Amino acid sequence: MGRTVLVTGASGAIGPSLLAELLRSDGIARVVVLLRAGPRWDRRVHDLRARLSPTDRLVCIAGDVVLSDLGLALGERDRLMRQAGVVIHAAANTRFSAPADDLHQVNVEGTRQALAFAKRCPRLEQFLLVSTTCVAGTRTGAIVERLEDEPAAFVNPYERSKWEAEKLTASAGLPVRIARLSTCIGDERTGRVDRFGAIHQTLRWLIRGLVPMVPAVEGSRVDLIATNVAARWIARAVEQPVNALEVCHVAAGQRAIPLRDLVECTVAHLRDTVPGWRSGQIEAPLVVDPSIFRMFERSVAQSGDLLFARVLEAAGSFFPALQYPKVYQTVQAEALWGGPLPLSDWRSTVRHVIDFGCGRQWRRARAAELSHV
Amino acid sequence: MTPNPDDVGLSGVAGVLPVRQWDLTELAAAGLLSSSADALAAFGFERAYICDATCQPREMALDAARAAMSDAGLQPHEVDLLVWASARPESQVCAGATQTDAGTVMDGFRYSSAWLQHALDLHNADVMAVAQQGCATMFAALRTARAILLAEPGRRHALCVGVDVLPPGAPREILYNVVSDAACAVVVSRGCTTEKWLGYRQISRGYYWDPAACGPEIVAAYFPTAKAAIDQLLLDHRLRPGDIDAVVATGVNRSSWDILMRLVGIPEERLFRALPAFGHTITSDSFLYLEELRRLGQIQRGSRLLLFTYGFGSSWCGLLLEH
Repeated sequence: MGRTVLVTGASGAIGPSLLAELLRSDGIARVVVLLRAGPRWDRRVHDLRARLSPTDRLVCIAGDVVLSDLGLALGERDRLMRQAGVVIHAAANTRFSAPADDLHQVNVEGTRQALAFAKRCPRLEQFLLVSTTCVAGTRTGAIVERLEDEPAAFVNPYERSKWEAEKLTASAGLPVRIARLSTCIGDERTGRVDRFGAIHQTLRWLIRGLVPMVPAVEGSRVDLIATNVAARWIARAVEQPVNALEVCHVAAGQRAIPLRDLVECTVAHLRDTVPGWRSGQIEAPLVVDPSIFRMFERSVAQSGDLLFARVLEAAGSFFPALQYPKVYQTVQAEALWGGPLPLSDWRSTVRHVIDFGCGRQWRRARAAELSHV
Repeated sequence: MTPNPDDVGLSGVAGVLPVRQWDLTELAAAGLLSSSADALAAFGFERAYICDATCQPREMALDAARAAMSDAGLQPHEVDLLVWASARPESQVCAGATQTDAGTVMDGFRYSSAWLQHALDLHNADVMAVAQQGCATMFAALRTARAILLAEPGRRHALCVGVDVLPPGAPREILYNVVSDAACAVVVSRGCTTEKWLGYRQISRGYYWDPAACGPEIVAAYFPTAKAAIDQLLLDHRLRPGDIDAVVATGVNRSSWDILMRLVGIPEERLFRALPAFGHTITSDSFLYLEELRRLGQIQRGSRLLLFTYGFGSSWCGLLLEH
């Protein structure tokens, strides 16, 4: 008899890809998806099912991670507690610029509720927290796969909230696996992005020719991973036992992309595909010392220009981390996978993602979808 | 040293500002600014010079032209070519004096260049005009004048004159720059080693042809394209940023110059901006500063000067001179 896997955050950036992988797994009897209750619940369930196949083992239930017992009705709660073998807690507020209180509420308190629920599951084999490599904050150099003390500083309150969620999870006394994902850029074959994040918003403005410069220091790299690759890794992790605490970097690690290469690849593709870029009229953004970028930021702030303020807000979620070059160790992630992570050809993936985003006009997700699931 | 007849230089330079100054508070009170006075002050602006009944554009053009000719030691009959250079279409013609429909059509032919030739008695000069280069229009005029002097050896001196004045009551802020009225004139001479022409590089991007529709895109394109133009100019002449002895500023917002100097790698102390802030004068900024640089005499002969400007259209232009 296979496991029952409870998934929170299924309609997030990685959720649909993860469900697709889980539903392909023979070792899983049921995938129970907790979707936030609300007026659009039926529509969201419909949209989710429409993307997946087969769906006979998929069960959607209404709840909310920030509520006691995940907001489940008593009967549903008890049934799920009896059955759940694995809890994948992926629900999170991933808006880097969100107020710290909002981030804490969803990312820390939501994790607390998910852990409380998991503790009452007698058949629990694994609590898998989907976290982020961003918890390293402003650390530089090699980042190891273990729980670390609080870094000297975080780049934004999102990072702190996820670091606190990890600490909470590690001390829960459960069999815990923490999967720290680097930036999930999109599907390697289709470029599909289920939720545009900071890097996508930055791309969107860059394509409009509104990003004149990108701050970087020597060794600035961007650690990208295809969303489907991250999903495959998590699906495999579900089948692997964990004893106490295991931290894994699902990341490109040593193979992270030098920032200049990423900018060059992006610009080269835009010159092939996007009017304005194609005719060579839009100049590539400059990769500059952070002090120059700060001068530009100050200038924009002094001007009070609203559009550039939006551009810098989006870029401000992505750029600051570039000033703290680091390499994520992937030893444990690779041990679980059974070899080097099957990273996609990043150039091809980036090109697909740009095409996908342009095809969608980088349409923003609805506000309700942006908070948490 | 005998000058090489193929050397072209700027033998005379002059700029003229109106007498009437408006400080930022006055401009804001008159509703002529879109940003706050504080924000514009933070960008280094202090005032705008605005024409009024006592100071007409034509008078400024005459004053600038006479001063430049005097600087070059030229008499009117020695000018072989007159190039009128204005960014604004209204400046290309003298204001009409007739009220009839036929007169309205004919008024479009009351060319400023022809009027100036007549007013200055430049009876040996051919006359032409350069337009549609925005704030880079005077750069285009100099480039055109130099090309003609080199192509036609019988001609020796070209007088380029530009004046741009905004209509009465017009907003005085364009893309975070406080805009002044002004005129300037430059004599371009063959066989001249003063401000000797070393090179020129222009990048024109018609993609940004409509400034009202793509203001933010222009602001974003400014720095990468400016750097590209300057980098290419230096590369053309096998120069490094440190080989530039002085960068002659424009009157656009100070922080944009601070950023550009860092981007191109020229030490910031080499930015020449030694005049009380006069705002951005469309075509005259660089030449108001160049006139002051020549007057001060603090730059050694043989120094390399870089003039750079951006003009709506859009064009990014770098001019390299040897002082």
